[in-house]
Amino acid sequence: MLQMEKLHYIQEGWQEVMSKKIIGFLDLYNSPNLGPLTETRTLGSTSFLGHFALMDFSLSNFTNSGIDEINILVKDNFRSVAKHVGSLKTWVSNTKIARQNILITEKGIRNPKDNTELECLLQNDWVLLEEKADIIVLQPAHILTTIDLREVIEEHSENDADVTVVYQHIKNADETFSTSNIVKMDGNRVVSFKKNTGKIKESNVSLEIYVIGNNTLKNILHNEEYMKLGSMKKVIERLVANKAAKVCGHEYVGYARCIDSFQHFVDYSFELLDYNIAKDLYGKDWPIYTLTHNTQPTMYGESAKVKNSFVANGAEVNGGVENSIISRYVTIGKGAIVKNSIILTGTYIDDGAVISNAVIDKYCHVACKTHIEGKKTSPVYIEQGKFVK
Amino acid sequence: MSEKMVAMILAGGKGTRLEALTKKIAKPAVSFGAKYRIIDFPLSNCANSGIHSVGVLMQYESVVLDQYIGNGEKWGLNGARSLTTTLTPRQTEEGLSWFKGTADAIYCNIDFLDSCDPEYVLILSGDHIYSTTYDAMLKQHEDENADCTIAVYQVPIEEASRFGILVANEEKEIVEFQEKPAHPTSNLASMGIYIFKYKTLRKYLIEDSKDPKSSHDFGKNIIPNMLEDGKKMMAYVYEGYWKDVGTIASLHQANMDLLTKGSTLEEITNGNKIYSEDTNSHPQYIGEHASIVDSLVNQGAIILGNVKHSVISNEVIISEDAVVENSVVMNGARIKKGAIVKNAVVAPLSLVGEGEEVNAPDGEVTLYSRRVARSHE
Repeated sequence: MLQMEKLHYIQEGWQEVMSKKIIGFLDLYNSPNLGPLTETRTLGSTSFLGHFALMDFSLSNFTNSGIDEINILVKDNFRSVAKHVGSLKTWVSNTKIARQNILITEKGIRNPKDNTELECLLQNDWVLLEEKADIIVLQPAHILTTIDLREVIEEHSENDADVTVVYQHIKNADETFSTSNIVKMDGNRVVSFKKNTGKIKESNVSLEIYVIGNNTLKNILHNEEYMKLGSMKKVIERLVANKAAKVCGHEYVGYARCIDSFQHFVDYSFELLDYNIAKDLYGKDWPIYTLTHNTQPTMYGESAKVKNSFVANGAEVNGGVENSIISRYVTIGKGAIVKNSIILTGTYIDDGAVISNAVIDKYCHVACKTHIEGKKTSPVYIEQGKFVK
Repeated sequence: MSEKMVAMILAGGKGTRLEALTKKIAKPAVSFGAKYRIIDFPLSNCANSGIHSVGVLMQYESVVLDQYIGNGEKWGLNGARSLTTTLTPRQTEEGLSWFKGTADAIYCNIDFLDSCDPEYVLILSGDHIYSTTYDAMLKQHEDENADCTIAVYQVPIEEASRFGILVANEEKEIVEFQEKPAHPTSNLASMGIYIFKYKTLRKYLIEDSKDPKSSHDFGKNIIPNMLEDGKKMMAYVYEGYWKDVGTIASLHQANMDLLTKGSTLEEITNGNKIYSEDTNSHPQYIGEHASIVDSLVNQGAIILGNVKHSVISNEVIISEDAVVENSVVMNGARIKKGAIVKNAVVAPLSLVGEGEEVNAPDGEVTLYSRRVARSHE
């Protein structure tokens, strides 16, 4: 096919896809626990690379895929979500036409048993009704990926599927994607969708991105049996097991990492210091939108020694920094050394302090010449606001 | 609702002495300090002074600047009670004409000022680097019940002949105005920052517009006319960092000043924030073999080479073994492997090729501008 014709064909395809009403949900219900890091904040609002919040990647997937109806399903730690996303205008193209909502379930607040993902969707079904949704896209915050959702939606339509699950083929399923499901395919159909037990190395794992037809969603939300299951993941398990719906798969081959533990959060952060890996996550044509802070540029002093690190605006570096991630408004004093560590917003590392293999949360103060040393396989964590001496 | 004070920012000048930097954009839109554009300073000052209505007057290459100003959102000047508007020459019943001078630019927009109905008008220049609020100046203006208050900066007397000089008595009342005097009798240089009683200004602007001999300029016409009529004109002595960045050398110097302790940046850090555009950049990355000291770097920059005493903007890439010293590298510029850049201002999106040398002798500054489309690399 000629280049122009091909382009035209693709565009026509998109038009067909995009003429459907698509509503995106960022689902924070299934976020794994990252230990102390997510005690007072959601995984989605956890700082990443000193610059982003983890949810920015999924939100930007919606934006870059032309999906302007963005909703966030929040289970708890509502404050941290509201603080980061504000009115959500950062992630939409047209601020009048687009709709954005942060959704919680009031029923769930009254009774924690009812605080489930499906209950939250049902309680907020006005979003679906008001906008006469055709297709629903659910994305998690803990799986880092940059995916053009239009491709998934197109395949979903072509297959005339009820549900489409995005999966990836990996060779270390025994070590990663511990919270995801193993996906077995027969052609384009998902024939098995079961918990990852960590026993198989090579397999397809679910990226927990689901495209669902509106009628299918309605049927789920009005079925008591399904509602009892609480989560979409479990419903899809049931649908596949009982062959109760046409569940198809879409393979994604680009960058994807599952932040299912504190250690993985640390490992995947550092991994991105390698530009060859980072460029797969934030390529040129795929901007990652985030909350802006009007911080001044990074200031490097006369005695700064920085190697292989990310340093955010607003930071002031006067000491040594190696293989580390330095966030906004972090100050690193003269003669201080920070190695293999993640320092979150507003932390002050005083002169001569030595820090290695540590994650230091926001607004801490590490006194002069203090040593904080962890191991690569088990970094030290210092909780928010601590004074360490 | 009437406003207490409306700010009008004069941003129409061509800035010829900035050479290639202002070939396609107006001077106030020129990059500054790794992250900012020059006009961020007066606009942020307005925001920090609680001024709600700002008019930005533009003429030369207004598209980029106009786009940048937008609805004032970058400076928070788009709130429920705020108004930011760009004012360019327009076609009227009388025909089409360009702004003939600084005073004419304001005169042509009297209707805008009338609609704001302010008590005072603050006239600002769009190309000065300084971080302040106008609160104290306004207070003095009100306390003195002045018709006009002019901000002045104390310059060394031997340099005074380069400026518009005001002679004031002990009460800070202005008694004389000298435009670039050969033998100055005062060291109070006008900063081009004025607060007027709007009613008085309005009258003088209308009269000036009818004077065929006038060059319709604040310094040359409006101020002398008011002085002659015995209006109450006060000097407000400004203390703090202030720089007119009219030339490549002064632009370079003002950038370098950011690296000095106690400079503007410290004022920005400790006091009045300067608001600007936060680009959707990647995190800033410093490479394995890089060295970076005594520098200011914005998000999105990738530094793999050696940087010393320099100001580096967003999306700049400095490759391995490249050396950047005492320089300003503007947004999107690329310094290739082994290149040497010293005492230079590198224009936005320029490419310094592999092994190339851009080097001005110490004490001098060179402008490097070579835009290469990325697809042609």
